[in-house]
Amino acid sequence: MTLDETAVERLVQEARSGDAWAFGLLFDHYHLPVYRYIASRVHRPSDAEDLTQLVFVKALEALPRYEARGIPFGGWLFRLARNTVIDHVRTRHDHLDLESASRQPGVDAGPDEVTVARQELDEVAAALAALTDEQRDAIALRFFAGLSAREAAEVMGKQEGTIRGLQFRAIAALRRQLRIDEADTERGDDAASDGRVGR
Amino acid sequence: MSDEMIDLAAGDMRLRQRLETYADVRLTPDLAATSRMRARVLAHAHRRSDLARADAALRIVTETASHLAIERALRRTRRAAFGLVAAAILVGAMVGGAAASSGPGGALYEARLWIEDVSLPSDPSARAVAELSRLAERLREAEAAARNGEGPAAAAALAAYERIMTEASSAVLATDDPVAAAALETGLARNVEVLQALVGKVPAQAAEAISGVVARAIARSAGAIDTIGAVDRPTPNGSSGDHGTAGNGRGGNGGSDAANGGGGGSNAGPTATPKPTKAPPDRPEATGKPPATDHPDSTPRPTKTQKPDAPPAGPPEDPQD
Repeated sequence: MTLDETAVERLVQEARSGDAWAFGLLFDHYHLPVYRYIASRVHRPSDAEDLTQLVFVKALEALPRYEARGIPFGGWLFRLARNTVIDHVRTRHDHLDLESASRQPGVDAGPDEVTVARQELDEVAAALAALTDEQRDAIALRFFAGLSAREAAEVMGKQEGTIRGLQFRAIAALRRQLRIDEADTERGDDAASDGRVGR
Repeated sequence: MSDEMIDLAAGDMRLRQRLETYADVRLTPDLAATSRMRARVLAHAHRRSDLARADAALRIVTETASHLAIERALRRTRRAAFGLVAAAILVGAMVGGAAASSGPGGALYEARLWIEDVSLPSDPSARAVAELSRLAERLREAEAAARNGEGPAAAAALAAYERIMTEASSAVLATDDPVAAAALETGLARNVEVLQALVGKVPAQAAEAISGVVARAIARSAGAIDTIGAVDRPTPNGSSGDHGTAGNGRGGNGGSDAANGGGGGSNAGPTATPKPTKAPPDRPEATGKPPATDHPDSTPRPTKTQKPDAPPAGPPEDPQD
């Protein structure tokens, strides 16, 4: 489902006035990137599900206080998501460390993993777990949630240049971890546009 | 390091492909999870929407009830009954919320009055204040109906007014509560003024239907005031006034004797003259109403003179003699 900024803001206004249907459309539009961001930061899919739901409920409650000045709704929503994840990690001591990341895949292996080399997925998970918190946050927002560098900067409360730096170092670390030879990589001419995944 | 270099790195196709696969397999909710999340979030949204609508409706009812009750409290009740207005507001809001849509003369009007009645507080003073709120509401309904030329609706509201007034007077007499009596008496006196003003506002097309009803309501209000005046109440020095006081007040005004028939005249007799200075302030609007003669229900007042603390001037006379 694709919505432009104007349509999103209109739905936000309708949801603010108590239109549950409009909020349902907002959920449809944002739930996947929000879930992906959260799932990349917590251990269990069940936690990701609960936290995603919590983020949207929080958004619903906070909607009367939301004002579109400066921050688009998506950025505001991801800020809620990020704070929710931080609270969760802090209170549950739920850190995605190297060991747990390696253990994780076998637990929730689904049918899709039959066709995908599970080992490759485990390696990606371990490589992500080896990043610093901020690098992982930047990668999650940019690649998994599909935000632009500017949007990610707003969500993390940093400068856009800082986000690009975090992203650069994270990518370098991931390549090292995953033993991706730079000489073999293809560099698309259009890569400068963005590095979004799955959106 | 330039942005171009960073973006070039981000475009690393192999890394990008692996991250994409990872996101698709490990970071994507299945259909069941998506459905669960959506259902819960939307259930919350619907609940919140319903609550918002209910809050809005309740706010309107509460504001209306508060406004009316505050005005009534300021103008019609004595200081002793002032603190009880909050209870009346609450009762008014509850009652209004239950049957706000039923106007006077409507199918649900009687049901609304019944709900109001069963919602009345048991405490005599609080009940009197609540009854005053009901009476004021009836007047407001009558006024609105008269303004719109709706004679039957105005008549229904005034009929309800009379019924409530009779019940309230009976309750005050039964409990003999001085605070309740004072509140009701003052409120009814004020209502008489409102009713008199209402006569002048009735449009020509509704005048015939309404004027007679208003006049009867005024007369009955005056009679009720007389009746309630017989209830003991505190005097300024803190002691309870005797029955001669109330009798003097009404008898001294002269007009009530017509309304009370023989009762008023009897009270103005020998027992009244020794204590002229304790008469309460005159209520001219309550005294000069000839139609009050239709209502013998105010005559029981003389029975109050049988209390034993009155005899200094001699044995009390039986007013029926």
